[in-house]
Amino acid sequence: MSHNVVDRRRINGPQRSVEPVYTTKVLDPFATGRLDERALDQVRPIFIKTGPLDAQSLSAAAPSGSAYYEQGKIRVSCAIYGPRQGRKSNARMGSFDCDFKYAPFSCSWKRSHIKTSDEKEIALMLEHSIAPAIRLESYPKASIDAFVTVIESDGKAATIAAAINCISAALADAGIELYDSVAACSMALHGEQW
Amino acid sequence: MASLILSPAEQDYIIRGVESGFRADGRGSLDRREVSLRTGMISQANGSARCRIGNLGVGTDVLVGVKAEVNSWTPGEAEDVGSIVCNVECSPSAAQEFEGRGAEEINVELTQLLDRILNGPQSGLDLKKLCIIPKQAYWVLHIDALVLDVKGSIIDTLVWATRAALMSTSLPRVVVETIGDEMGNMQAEFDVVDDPEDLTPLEGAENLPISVTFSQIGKRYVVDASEQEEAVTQARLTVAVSPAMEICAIQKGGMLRGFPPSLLTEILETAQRIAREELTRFKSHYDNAKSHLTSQADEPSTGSTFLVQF
Repeated sequence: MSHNVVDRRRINGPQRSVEPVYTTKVLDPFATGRLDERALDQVRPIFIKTGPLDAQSLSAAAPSGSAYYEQGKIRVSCAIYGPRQGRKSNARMGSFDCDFKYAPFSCSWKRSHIKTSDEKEIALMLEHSIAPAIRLESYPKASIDAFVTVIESDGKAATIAAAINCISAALADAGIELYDSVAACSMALHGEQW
Repeated sequence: MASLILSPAEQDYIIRGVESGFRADGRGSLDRREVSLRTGMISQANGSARCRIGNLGVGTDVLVGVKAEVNSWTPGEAEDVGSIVCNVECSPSAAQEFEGRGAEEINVELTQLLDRILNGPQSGLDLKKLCIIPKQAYWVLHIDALVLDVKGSIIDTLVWATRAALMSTSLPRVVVETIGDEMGNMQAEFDVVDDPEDLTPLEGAENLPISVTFSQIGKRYVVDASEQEEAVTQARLTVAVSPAMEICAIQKGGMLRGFPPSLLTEILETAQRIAREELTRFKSHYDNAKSHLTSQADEPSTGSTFLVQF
């Protein structure tokens, strides 16, 4: 990706390295049923725990709400900071900002620790899907910030859906006023079948 | 998206007008503005186009240039395809909020949207034709878009201009030879022909999708929102439809509200109908769009022709 950018804060790996190439053939997951034997419309079992990040410290820097979400091999954690002072001091409505980051070890190929435009776009997607559900008019001049970290990922679209569910849980844990919670699910089209 | 500051009275005027079926510039809710399209005006690029959507000579203005480069294959990449790299930049001269780092978010959103429309089988481009030698070399098409002016409907203008630029793109011809070395191994080598007249057009560009953006204002929606209408838009949905009437990409934007599923189905059907009309309109504009700057004949040689001819 960025072979000529040297990160001076870390001890760097070799300047040029490539992912290993596996020679085994990839099985078609739809030919003989899904690899984990699920039905076509079955989701992976979900585990959600709210409040894992704020129990330890009672300092002012603790997040207002947090959630940890697991679905199959997907593991996502979200922290909500806010409502806190926003950037515009004359805004009639609060602002909702999302920050999305894959941990470098979360995907099958190593990811850069610098945020890529992919992650920035997913953050925008998360904002556009969750902001309509928040009662932003109850938080003028304030901003609500969500920080999502993907600890382990298993399918890009499914991870985005997991992030949306995780943020909804974290917002509820933070006590932010919501019209409704937002739920998301990913689907894929294979031939003629969903 | 760039937004105008409107007084509450003006906002109310536009919202109630749209709900009653009237728009501030007299259009119907599904009517689109005039388009100016020019291709081939950048001689250094393999393909270029400039598109302006707006009435009375003022509107959203996007300039797209396509440059082709040869890239070496690295293990881990697909073996027999070329690739497309998109980049969209909003010029700070287009709107005040694009100054400094203000355009960062919108640049990312537009770049990823264009990438989603173009990268993949739904775009209609045959990426296998961009491969020069499998596992060795392939063409990379760098598509760079510059948004010069913003008067509502950036995405549609961007997709129009990109479509025109790719349709006018032609690549230099490549000669591939297999040479045997001392041990009898066959090695393939390629040579790019340096003749500026010897070009092959990019295949499959007429299968590219075209986009239609619906803006939700009050209880109704409009197509091709103007600047004022965008300031009161609560949510917008962009649908990219291919000439085969397949929906290639859908992007929802807007932080204020969502779309009910019944409205979503209605919008998708309307999008296909409008896309059919837009594709016909595109074809007639494109056929007249060839820039005359490339012919030496009796054109004035000053730089003002770029502006005058548009």
